[in-house]
Amino acid sequence: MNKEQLIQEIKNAIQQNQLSESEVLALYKEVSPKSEKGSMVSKILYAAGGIVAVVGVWVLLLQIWDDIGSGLRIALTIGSALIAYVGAYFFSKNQEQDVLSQILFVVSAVIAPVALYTTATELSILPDNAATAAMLVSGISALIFGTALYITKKPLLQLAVVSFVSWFYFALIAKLVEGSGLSFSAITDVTVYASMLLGIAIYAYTSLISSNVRNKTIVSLFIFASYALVLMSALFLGGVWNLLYAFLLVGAVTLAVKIKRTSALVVSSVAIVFYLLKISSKYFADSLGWAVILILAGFAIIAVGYFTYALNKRYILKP
Amino acid sequence: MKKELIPTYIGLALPVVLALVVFGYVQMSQIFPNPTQDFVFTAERYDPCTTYTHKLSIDTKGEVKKTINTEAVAKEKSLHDNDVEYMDDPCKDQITVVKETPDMYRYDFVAGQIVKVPSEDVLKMNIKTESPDGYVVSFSRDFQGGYYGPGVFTGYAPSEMYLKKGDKKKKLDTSTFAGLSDQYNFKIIGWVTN
Repeated sequence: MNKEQLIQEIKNAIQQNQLSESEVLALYKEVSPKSEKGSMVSKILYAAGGIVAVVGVWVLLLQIWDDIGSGLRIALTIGSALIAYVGAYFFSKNQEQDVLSQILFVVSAVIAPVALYTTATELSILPDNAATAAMLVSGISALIFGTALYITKKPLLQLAVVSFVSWFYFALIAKLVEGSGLSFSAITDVTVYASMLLGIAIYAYTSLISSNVRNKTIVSLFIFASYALVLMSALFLGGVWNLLYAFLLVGAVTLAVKIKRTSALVVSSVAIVFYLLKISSKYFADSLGWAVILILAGFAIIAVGYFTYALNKRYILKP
Repeated sequence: MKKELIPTYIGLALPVVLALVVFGYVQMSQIFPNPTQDFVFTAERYDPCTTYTHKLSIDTKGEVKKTINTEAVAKEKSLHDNDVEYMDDPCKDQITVVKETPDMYRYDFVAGQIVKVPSEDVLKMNIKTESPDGYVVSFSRDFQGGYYGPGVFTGYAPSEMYLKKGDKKKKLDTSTFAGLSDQYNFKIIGWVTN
């Protein structure tokens, strides 16, 4: 039996529900614990190295920034981002250097916006309008790292691309409402709805890519971000949303259980706590008093904590 | 397209739909005809060392009258006649400016810009203090930024001049008048009906 046939056999077993995800992962860990441990150490070292490199570049730039000219400023920032990007691309061809490649892509993605801002500023081509400048930088960054994602299919690049597209979207909304004459409350509402819809879009994107993304942490992170964007933003809405939010929470918890995501359940629980505090302070603070509200809120938080634990244990962690 | 993916694509399209709705709403709220009358205004920055010897008033028929600003003239005279008061004068070390009236400007809606008008021309105009078409000129400061994240704004833009009618509001071009940036700087005289 060759490798393709073996993979097909496992696929068939999964499709026929003879094998669950946790059973496959448990088996993998059981059979090759050493390689997993070894790869984990190298992953941690790569990640730590990446953070140290970014901080190092940052400190170096801050130290010498005033003493260097425009050319060197552009060369240092664009150069750092480019070296990391090109290095990541070449390492991406070797499967053994997969983690190193992804870390270098992330390092490049962190430096790239700073490099683009610096270059545009030094060349005096940065738009005066802050939202336009942000759209330009985030849009170019999204294109650069979107191309890398398309070519290399590295999971961590999903994170960079989604971050840049989200940034671009917020800058676009800011640009649209800027100078529109809309009141502050209208602008706040538009921004909140934009955040909620972005959360829904990230969730939709995650469901689209989840079967193809190898790194399940990325998927969990996207689910977490989408839940946080929708539930935390909606807390800022008043009026009919004070009632609708309760239904939103029921839907969020139900979905979290259905998709078996602890991260979604955790965000939902935190949102329930905030919602309880918001509603209590808004409607009951005058009649019951703050001291009673705090006591009740405390017990409610404990209840939510237990509810989350029970749901997680019974429906999500259970294979 | 697979049928089960339709909700996913709808989810992905929602932010774009919101951006289009906001764009459409903002554009629509700014589409309304310009007034048939121009308005005239003054926009002098407050300066304790500048005295205006005359002031303008508009009677019920819309005729503009220029009268002596007795209070300001008396104060100016007192400052120069009385040594003791002169010692307290904040302008004692500065050049004091005496002008007849503040500089006057007209918002020309045909040209879409502000033009300076001599006070003699304003005296020949027929002016209503309220717009016959129900327009109002106001200033407001926009919020700028917001790109750092939801609800986070980097600050305020300089105040801008807006033309309002009912719920609709559009920004007026003030690029020909660099000093017109703050609300306290602006005082409308009225709408030119002739």
